[in-house]
Amino acid sequence: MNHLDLFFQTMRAFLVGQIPIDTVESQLGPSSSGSRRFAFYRTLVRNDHHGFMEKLYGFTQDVLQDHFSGCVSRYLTAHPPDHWEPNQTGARFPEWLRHDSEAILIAPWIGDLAQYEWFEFVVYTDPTPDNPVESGLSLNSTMRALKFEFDVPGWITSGRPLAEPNPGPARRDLILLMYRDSRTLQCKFLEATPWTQLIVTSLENGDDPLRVATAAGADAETATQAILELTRVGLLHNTSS
Amino acid sequence: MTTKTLNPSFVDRFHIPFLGYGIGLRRKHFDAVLHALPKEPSHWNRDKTFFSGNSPAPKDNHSTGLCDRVDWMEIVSENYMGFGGRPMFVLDRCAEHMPILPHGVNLSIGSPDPLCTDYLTKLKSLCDKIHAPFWSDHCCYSSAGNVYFHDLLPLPFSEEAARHVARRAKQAMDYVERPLALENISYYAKMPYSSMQEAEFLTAVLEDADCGLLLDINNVYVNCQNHGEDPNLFLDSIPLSRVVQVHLAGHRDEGWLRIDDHGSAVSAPVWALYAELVRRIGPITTVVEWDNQIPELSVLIQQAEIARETAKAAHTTQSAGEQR
Ligand SMILES: [Fe+2]
Repeated sequence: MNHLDLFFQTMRAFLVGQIPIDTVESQLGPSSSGSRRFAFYRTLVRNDHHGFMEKLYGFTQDVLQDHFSGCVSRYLTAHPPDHWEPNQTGARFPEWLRHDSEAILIAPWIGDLAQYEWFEFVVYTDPTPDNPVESGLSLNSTMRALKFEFDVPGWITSGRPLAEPNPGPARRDLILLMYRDSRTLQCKFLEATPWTQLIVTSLENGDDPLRVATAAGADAETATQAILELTRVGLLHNTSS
Repeated sequence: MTTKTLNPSFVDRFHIPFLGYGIGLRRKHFDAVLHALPKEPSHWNRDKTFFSGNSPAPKDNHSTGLCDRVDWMEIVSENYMGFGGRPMFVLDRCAEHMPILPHGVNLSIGSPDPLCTDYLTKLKSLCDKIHAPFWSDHCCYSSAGNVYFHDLLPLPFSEEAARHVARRAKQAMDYVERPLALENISYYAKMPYSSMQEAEFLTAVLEDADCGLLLDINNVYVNCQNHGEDPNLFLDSIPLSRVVQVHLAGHRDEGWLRIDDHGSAVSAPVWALYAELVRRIGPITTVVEWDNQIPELSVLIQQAEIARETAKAAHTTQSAGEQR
């Protein structure tokens, strides 16, 4: 193995925390700047990785408090960052949290909370331009339909993440539609009702939502009102005059 | 390896424009920036400004308009690559009014892994969108063995590493179809297997790859303080004809180490070193970086204005000296 290959192999193991600086020095030789400065690079990388996670998962950190850092360390060991986009460091955190026994012991709903935070970021930066179709109804292209087992959205809206003592969100199955408002470019969300789900699905399938809703038993007035409301909040675009 | 060049300057060969004095566009300032941009589209001619070597217009220090006080903006490429929404909206508005240069942090030009084509494709499309005359990243590695460290890590200063970086830099430039400027990073420890000084290593890379140099003056100062070297000697030892842009930033002194944290105003010795550079090469496209404890937009603008005044004073002194 040439010097450069050995250098990278050893530094990789050191920078992700698999080997201590002594082992690096015995394999590569010392740095002429001294061990303390050489070892400092592990601290820098760790701080960078944790910093991205803290920015993405502010509420999750508030809930887990002192346990957050340990959780992130275990997560990063399981999923070392493998993408050039720094925020992708946190992409698998919500799913990982759902299976981390320490985190779910503190808050059984922690995976739902992290999912909410992750998709806030995803929707905010979604690259699709969300252009309405030329004529007729279309769905906001940034929309994500997400399953929750706890009422995290209601809990966040009521400002309770910062409450003391904090009972956490109520147990409740729901589907949340998260999307970016084309006017304000901010992330919004809406809990899906059976009618909204039907309208969204029909548009995704290229069907006429009014026809699908009335065929499913809605009266035309109810279905029209539901479509108008979804258009008003920016989840649908209506370009028909 | 090759040594310092005496050929026509990189700037001339690649028609690199002088853009003036800028600030970094940061998310914290999105609202303030939008508010300070002119309401009507500006009349700056992108092609003319970039390629005829025109100098930016004189600025009005008392104006509240952003375009009256800074000439251009630098973006962190990765914050816009493949992203839409508000970040892209703000970037589009800024690009209507002033030149934008993309500065990346994750090209990882020194990495042992193959260059990431997804990265380069998205970067090229960003460069095309903003009509970037060149793009920049750091002379370092930030990934290895499929792990991204998201830090700018020093390579061994060796001929082997220099050849490795230069080969990849040529590939990256071919892909993005624009000149690349590599930045001198701050390094806290010299890596094992180093057989050269930093300046020698940097020169070898730049000459072999035929790259521009984004000279970070704060990094020069911090490195020289940390490693007991003379910043003027460093300037003597690098190919100044390749400098296409300058970074200025703040750092903090931890006693055992100066940390390049971009968390404060540019320090007096760094301003002095910047003036020395301008005396040597003349006015140069300059940006002030500020990434931690980011202050109000007005503070950043003031730093860019100090850069403008410092460069003006240094250039005047140099011209007067030449006439004597
Ligand atoms: Fe820099």
